[in-house]
Amino acid sequence: MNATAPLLEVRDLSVAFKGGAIQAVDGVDLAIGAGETLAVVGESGSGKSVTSLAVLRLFGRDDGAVARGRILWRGEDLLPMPEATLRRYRGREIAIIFQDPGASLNPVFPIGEQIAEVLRRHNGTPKRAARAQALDLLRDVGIADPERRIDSYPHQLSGGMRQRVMIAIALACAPKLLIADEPTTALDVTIQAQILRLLKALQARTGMGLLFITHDLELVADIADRIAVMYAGQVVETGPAAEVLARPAHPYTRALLECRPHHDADGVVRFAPIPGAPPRGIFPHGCRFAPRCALAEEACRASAIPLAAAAERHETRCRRWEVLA
Amino acid sequence: MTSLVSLRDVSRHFPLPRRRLFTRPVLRAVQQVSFDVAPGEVVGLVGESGSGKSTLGRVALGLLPATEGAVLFEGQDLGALRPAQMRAMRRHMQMVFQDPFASLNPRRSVGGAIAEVLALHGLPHGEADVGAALARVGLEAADMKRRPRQFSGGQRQRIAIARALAVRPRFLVADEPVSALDVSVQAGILKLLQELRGELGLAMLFISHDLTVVEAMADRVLVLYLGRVMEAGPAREIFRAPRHPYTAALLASAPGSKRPEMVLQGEIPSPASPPSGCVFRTRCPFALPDCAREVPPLRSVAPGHEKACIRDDLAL
Repeated sequence: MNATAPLLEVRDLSVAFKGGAIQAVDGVDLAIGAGETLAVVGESGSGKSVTSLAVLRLFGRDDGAVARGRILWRGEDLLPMPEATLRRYRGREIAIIFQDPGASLNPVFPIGEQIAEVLRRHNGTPKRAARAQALDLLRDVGIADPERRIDSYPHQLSGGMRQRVMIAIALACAPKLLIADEPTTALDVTIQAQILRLLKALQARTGMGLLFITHDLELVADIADRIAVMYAGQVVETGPAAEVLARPAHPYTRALLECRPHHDADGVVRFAPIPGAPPRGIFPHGCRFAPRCALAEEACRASAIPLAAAAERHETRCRRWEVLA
Repeated sequence: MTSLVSLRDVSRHFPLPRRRLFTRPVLRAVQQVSFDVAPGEVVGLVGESGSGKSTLGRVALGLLPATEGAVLFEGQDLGALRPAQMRAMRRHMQMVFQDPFASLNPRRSVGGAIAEVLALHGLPHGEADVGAALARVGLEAADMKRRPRQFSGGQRQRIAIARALAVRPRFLVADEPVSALDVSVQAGILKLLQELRGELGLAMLFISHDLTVVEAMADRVLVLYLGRVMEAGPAREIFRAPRHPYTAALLASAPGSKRPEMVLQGEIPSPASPPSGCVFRTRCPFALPDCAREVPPLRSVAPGHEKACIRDDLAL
């Protein structure tokens, strides 16, 4: 395997629920390399979380999820793998953290034991060594007074500290890729800044890839190398984060940026809501954003729009992107 | 400037369970806060969770009595009103909450919920009146027959706003009104609030953790930390040239901030045992030994702009 090949490559991934009745993700391509941060951005229902869950096949039994396409982990397809084989990758090679750390931690065990359990199960670390390593991990993620905190129960910790514990658990087996699904959405901005700084520092040290799922475009500017904007189950724009944010080549990306309060040419504060609502589950023909797009014309609705290059490494799923520039 | 709402040295404490026999611990959610809201003015309230924003919002409406100090509405002390007088007063002061799923009765039609509030205040509450209240927030008269679950989150927040504004209040407390919504939906609600403010001459206490939104909505801003005002002043000045280290740290922590990096260490202490002196000193990168001695009073740093910090030598 050569050094420049991506760690994770998602090709033409589609996920449907309830026996295909609800299409959540439709033909998504993503790639992420070692040490790289890719931000997947979108509103609720865009398919960003489903995409991340599909990588590790973390669907409930009752979801009736059907995934198609390829999920290549260092060249190996995870999608057709039996559950028992996939389990070897979960946590050890690819770890995931979620928005609500309270729901991911077991309320009846001290946090130290929960970290140690991961080490014992995945690495077979003996009990005493696992506790010592758990202590190191708590220190690494910036828990103050780890000797005392190691025996705390989740409810005794603040939201910010619980998220640090989740990161410690995720990092226990030194994964090569960390998937972070809205990890700071429930936290105060000051704590969010601490967690982002921590993730960046850990990434710089370990060289892990970071797949960051978020709804917050402003946050993307701070952390991501590349960005993929999702709408109605598809990636509608992807490219270097700084460039996509400065020169969006898809009307949806542009509209999302303009939803945030901004000053117009006269210095007046403006809010520009996107008219209508995103489609859910069943998508319109042609461009899925067309019903809400000011630039849409007849041809946009006629047939599916492919991703096309707008600049080097910058792609957009829009026929009329040049009008935006 | 005549004020519509006026808080004078307001504190709100909550008793905590007794741990020892002779001491009764209290949680000091709000400590000696004073501010005024002029008619038609929007005052923004910012600060981390646990800073006392929501408690202060409820105290300003008389939903929670102040433990100390007074809340005046047009000069009338809310604490001195009899229950019947307070109910009549509620017509002028309304609230919109963060979660439109929890604040609407699921068994009641939307029109019924609005008619109820109108009737409660002895106002006309026929279909035309309810329809007008819904039209004001961009919904249709036909929507009045539907139940809350038939609406999206953004539409529900519109209904909650319609209900709050149906009685034509002069003061609205909006507690994180867009935090639970998607960005594109947020923009619609904020735009609506701004339009209604102009149309109805509404004064607002706008509580949000989203600094960009507060900057856009508020005329003046109050920065709270552990129940105390750290800084208060015109929104423009607070956001462009903060004078208190906590304000500067909050602004620097906001995603996409272009301000010099200033990551605060640790977390907000418990309001049950706040630090002595300046409550922010335990996390302040500029704290001096003197900061522990006494609570720094708010002092004027520019017209209408105050800060509670003893240091004037900081370039923030």
